[in-house]
Amino acid sequence: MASQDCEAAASSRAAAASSQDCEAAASSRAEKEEQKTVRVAASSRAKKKEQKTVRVAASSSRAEKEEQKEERRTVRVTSNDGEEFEMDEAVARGSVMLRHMMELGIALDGVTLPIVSGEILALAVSYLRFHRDYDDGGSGYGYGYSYGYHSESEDTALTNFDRDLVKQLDQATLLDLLAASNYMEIEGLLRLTCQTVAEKLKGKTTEEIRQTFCIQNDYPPEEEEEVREEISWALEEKSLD
Amino acid sequence: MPSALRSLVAPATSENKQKKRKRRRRIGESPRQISSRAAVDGEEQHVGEEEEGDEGAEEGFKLKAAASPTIQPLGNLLLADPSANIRDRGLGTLRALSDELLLDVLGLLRGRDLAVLSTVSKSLYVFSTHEPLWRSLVLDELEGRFSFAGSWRSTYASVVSPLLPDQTPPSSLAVSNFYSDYLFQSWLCANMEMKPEWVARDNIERGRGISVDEFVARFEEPNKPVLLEGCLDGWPALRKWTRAHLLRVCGDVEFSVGPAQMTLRRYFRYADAAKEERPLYLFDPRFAEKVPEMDSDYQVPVYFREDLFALLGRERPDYRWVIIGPAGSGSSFHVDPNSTSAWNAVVSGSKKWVMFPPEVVPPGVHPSPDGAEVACPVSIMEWFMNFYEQCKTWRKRPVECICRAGEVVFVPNGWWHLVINLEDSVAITQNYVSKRNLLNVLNFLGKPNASELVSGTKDRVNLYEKFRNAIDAAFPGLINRLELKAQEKTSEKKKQSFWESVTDANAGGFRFSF
Repeated sequence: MASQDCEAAASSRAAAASSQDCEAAASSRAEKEEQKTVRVAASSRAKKKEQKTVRVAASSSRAEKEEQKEERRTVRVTSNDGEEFEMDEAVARGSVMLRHMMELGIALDGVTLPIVSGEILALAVSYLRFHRDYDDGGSGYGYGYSYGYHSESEDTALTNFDRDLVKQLDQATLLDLLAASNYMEIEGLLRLTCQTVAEKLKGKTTEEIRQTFCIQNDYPPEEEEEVREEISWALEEKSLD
Repeated sequence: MPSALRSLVAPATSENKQKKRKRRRRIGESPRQISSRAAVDGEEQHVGEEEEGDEGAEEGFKLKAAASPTIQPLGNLLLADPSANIRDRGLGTLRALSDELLLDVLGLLRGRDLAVLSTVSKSLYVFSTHEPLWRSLVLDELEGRFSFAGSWRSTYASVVSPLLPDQTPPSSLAVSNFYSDYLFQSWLCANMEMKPEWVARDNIERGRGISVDEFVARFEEPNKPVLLEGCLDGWPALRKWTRAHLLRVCGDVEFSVGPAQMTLRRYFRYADAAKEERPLYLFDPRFAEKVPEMDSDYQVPVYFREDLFALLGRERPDYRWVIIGPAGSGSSFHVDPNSTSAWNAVVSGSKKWVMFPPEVVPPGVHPSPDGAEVACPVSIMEWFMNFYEQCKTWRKRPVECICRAGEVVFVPNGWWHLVINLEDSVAITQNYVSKRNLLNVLNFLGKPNASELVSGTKDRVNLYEKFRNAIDAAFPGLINRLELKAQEKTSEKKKQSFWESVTDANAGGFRFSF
């Protein structure tokens, strides 16, 4: 009976598949750090090359602008179920993970993401594309550093896009997208999805939260009472101010 | 209902590649309680200290007094029924998120919503009572205006709902069968003490009663660290600055503590009770203005009196701090700002130092290509756990020491350093520019991305101009002379590098080598 109210019930198949994905995606702190270490250790070898790239790009001489327009490099990103997405390098740089891979020169033959499905990758790519067009005004210099830093409150088109993007998602897809944006290091998208999930936790009663997320109550009655006592201050009317 | 915890040996799992150690836990019977922490020299609660035969074998961790974990590492699941982990069951669809991501989401909630979550399931109880979440809430909403109530969660609650005099706060629930590496690691780092072998090594050069010229020639010029003894003998602070005295003189003065301002009284109350991975640290650059008496209780040691930034007068960047913190507080690896050199004098307590020369980035530290950001994702305790042990296999080993009351450490410019207080400590530190590192500083300030890199002043971009003009006015021609000298040096034969010349003071003829 609770399962009827549960948003996730509608996509239980996706949830099962995604939980596999996300178990793979979930990593202990040390493992994550180790990944970072490997990535950054590798990048420190290419450090000089990267610095040169940044310096060259930063100086905007007309000749270079011309050259850049002609060269328009793209990168191909493939999901774990074989869907391919081709995007400009400038777009891909919105993902710090892809940015590092491109700078290390290991994205030339395309990148396959073993833990991101086509459905999720499509959403991430549409986010990257929209934000890139926005953040650099089409000048071709969108290096992705400004992703998420853009003052979204000033820009209704941006906020509308973001809002519409997450509004249509069922819960399982939203959680998958959150995990994927963390994996691909797309800061703005990670913030957006985290906020969306957080909204679902706000202003709700215990029972409402259980229903929304299909959570089994594993408290014996006495313990649940103890906990309610412990947080009784939160259940009062008084506010912090 | 308190639960008896099993004492288990956690075998090294594949996730623990960097942590090749066995974890042992003591049998605990009481729910988590906060108690005052024993000093490092005092009680030692050793946890399962048997010798082990495998590589890198270590004893168990020393835990702070009365620490009783309720979270267990994933490795323990190997010896238990895998379905025993209550984590996923209690999260519903949220189990798709990793611990870190779930905490990111919870970090967006206000206090009330976070508290309600703890009633939803045991698993969410563990997540929603994660102390760093409540610390952020307290600091965001109250800044420094709180009276620490034993834990961040209780502190928050006590402000929303102050207890009546005869009321006792409700005790925390003890949850069993919750396995999580992330949360266990967090708990462990908060409750661990420094292992003896981490603080044993002391290979820094020492100097007592040397002349200024000797200091410059042997250490400042070649940019080598040194621990100086006996140069604080005239400081009134050494005998005056007891806790009682400080509370009397400035107990209600607000000092900079992390992101907030707190009265000294409130800070001590927090410091005595806190058990955290990254304790808040009192680090104030305006102490001399706030408490003029403190200014007259110390004086700059004779070696460091040439300080060219003083030419800027009031426009000089922040340059001196009083530092107060409990055992476990400190700074993880960093290089001091603006390419300055520094000295750090311990008034009371003791600090462990680990230093790497400018060209050796410490393991676990990732500076961004332009140097604007330094990512040191691990806390000090975690760094010791995960990276320090590897030092044994390095050829480029760091300079280390313990600096005690009355001693001063000289930190040459550009050197990476990590400092951790081994007990309640009070110290004074200053950054300065002498003729020896003037060119470095000018070079640093003149960089194109100075606006991001320069710190301690509101006027980053113009600092270079101002400083240069001030030097030219006070010492005409000095900069040119120094530049000529520097050019001569580089065209000389290649000098012996520092690493080839430093010797380990304790081990006689040991030499570093490339």
